[in-house]
Amino acid sequence: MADENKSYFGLLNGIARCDYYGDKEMTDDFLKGELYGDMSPDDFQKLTTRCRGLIKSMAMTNMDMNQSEVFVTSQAKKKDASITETQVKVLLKFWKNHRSKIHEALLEKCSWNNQLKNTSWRIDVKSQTKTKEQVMEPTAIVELVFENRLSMGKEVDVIQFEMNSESLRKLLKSVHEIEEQIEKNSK
Amino acid sequence: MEEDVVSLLQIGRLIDVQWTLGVAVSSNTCKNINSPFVAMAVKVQDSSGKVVSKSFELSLMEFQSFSRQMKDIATVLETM
Repeated sequence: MADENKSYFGLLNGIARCDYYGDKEMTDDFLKGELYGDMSPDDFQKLTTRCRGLIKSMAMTNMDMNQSEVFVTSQAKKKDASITETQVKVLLKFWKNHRSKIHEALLEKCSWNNQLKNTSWRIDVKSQTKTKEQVMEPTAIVELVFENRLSMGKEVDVIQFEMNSESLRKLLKSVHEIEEQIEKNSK
Repeated sequence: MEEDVVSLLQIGRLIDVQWTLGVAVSSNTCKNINSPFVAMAVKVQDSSGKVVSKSFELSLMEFQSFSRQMKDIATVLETM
């Protein structure tokens, strides 16, 4: 029995890695070979389909521990139960470990815009230019590196710009406004 | 070739920043997302007058880190 639970736990973990964390090595064939070598392909297929369905349901509404317990227990009590009483505990243990990670993975999957990957900056002081003899004006040079998760090769895009104190002041004004709105809306 | 050198030396100026604060509510993979995000668009004009815009999205944590870096720059600029 203990071994059975171990295999079930392993299978759930494998499915999470394959379906949510993008681990392409965790194929069904691999999982079957490692965990359920004796099971017929048909039965294994049914088992994985049931596991996937349960995880998907829990992930879809991001169930907390109470909700997941109610959900899984009710699944075990159904006539054509997709989960046995002993598997309930294993599935809940799995969900406790993976809930937030799976939720984060789902969040990543639905953000299609550029993500800011890196910000770097340096300060230069211009002492003189061709057009006029400037007084020592410090300028910030900023480089933003973006990544787009939607593109297969995680395409990287870069933008560089300079800011004098005036344009930095404007940027910081925007940053303050955003912070105020976040504060206001998180209450 | 010469143009390449010029563009390397002449970094564009930041001319505009636009932003949106939003909350992702629901998606096909998850009904309860409820995750706030900041979307920003920066406009940069190079010395020839050409304007390039880039937009990007930040989680709250990423925005906080971005904000901290911009404030760090301000601190350094002030002391110069």
